[in-house]
Amino acid sequence: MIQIQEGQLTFVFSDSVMACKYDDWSFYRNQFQNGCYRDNKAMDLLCHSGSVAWMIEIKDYRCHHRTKAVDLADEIAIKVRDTLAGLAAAKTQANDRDEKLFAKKMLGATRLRVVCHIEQPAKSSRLRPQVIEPDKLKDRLRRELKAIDPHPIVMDKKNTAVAVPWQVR
Amino acid sequence: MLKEARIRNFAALPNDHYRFCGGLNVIVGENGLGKSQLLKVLYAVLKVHADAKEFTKGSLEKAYAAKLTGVLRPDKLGRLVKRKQGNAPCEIALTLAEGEKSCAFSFSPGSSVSVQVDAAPTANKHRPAVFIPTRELVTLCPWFVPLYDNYHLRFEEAWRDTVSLLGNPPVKGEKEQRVAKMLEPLEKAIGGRMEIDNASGEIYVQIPGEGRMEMPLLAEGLRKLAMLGRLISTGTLLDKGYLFWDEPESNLNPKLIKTIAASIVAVADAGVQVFIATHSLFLLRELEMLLATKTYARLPHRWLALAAQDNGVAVEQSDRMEDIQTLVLLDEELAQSDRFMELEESP
Repeated sequence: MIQIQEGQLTFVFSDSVMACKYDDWSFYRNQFQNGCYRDNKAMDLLCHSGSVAWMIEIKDYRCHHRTKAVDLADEIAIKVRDTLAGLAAAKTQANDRDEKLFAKKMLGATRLRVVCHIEQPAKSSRLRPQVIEPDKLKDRLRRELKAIDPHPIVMDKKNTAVAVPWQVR
Repeated sequence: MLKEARIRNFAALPNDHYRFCGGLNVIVGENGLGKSQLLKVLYAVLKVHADAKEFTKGSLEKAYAAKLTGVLRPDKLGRLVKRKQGNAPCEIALTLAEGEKSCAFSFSPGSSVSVQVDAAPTANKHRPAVFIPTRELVTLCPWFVPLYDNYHLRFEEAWRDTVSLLGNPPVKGEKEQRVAKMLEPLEKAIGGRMEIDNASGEIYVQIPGEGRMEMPLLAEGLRKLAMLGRLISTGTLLDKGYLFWDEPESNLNPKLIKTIAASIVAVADAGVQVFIATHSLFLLRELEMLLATKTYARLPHRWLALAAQDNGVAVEQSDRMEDIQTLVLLDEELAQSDRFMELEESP
């Protein structure tokens, strides 16, 4: 069982899957971030589960500054694109053997899934129980990522109805 | 300022004391619960006061009856009495901050041309009252007024009242600067300045580089902005009086709803007591954000929700939106959000 801590959130992955923090990869930090043009972005977590490759972005607005809602989908779409490019490069170019292997596994998947895990800001009102409206974000993501995952997932830790191979505490 | 309306057995409205603030009063509720009726009954009574030349019981008995019938358009006055109450009369009492301007009257299911006045205002110089219906009225200016006055038409009388105000000349002098400031966002959205043709009395928009555009050629939503702009520029909605606006959001896209929300709050802040009925969560959220700014921190605001319950309609009211339990428009939006989120979660 792999546990990954991201700020105040703990992601607990099923035994059968592989998961890692992509933005901690030495390949990403040292080789790819500014070694393929410049300023490449990174999704937070990667997970390989059977034939599915998961790319996970975590937004915990309980403790971090909020990205403007109009920019959030753009930010995630760019991260997905850059991460896929990074994985394609890591498959052959990564100096770290584990990272190279993980990239191979991810790119061998038959399906790519994009997940935005979002914890809402503490600020809310009667008219806005959720400051970031998940359906609006999902709709934007769906439009921006249709070539990669036409069914992106927007979830939070209370949302247990979504079938993903991890739990969040 | 209207402080309170005590309403019993009137149409669909719940029997209750409706309390208002001097700034912005927002009424929400599903269709058919009486939001528009509440706006109209308040408007009708205050419009009678604004137009009355004398305040004797005898003159008011007929004036209230005629105005209620004209504005709400029942076949006869008595049809406005709540039908489930047998022969119990409808009772309406308005309490104003200036106590001598308060009134109370009643009428029964059999009433047609007069009401019984229990308390008449003793003061004159009442503030003007304006009713803006869900549709624009600028294209009805000025021809609708003589048409309405000379023929039996079953249009709501508030249309006639408001069209007659739209044709007034613009204010001049020290008020002009304030008018210009309040008109700026509206004219920016419309794309030109509103002007009235002195010969025909029709309203046009003067568009820079293009010249004069006839009102009917302007988009319906922009005509609503033009209507509000005219009422501001004539001084009707500048610093006093009452504005009753039924669904300001109708025919407007969210960008224009944002403009109209800012204007509504600005009008209220300038001294007009504003009452709006709305179905738009977008408008409510805009208002909530505007009211949270420093500019409007002192502007009083009040929320009223008409809620369907097992035994009829009830009113929830508070100065704080958080106290309003029944917000069907929000519940439906959230439910739709949930349905959308569930749609593809298990592909």
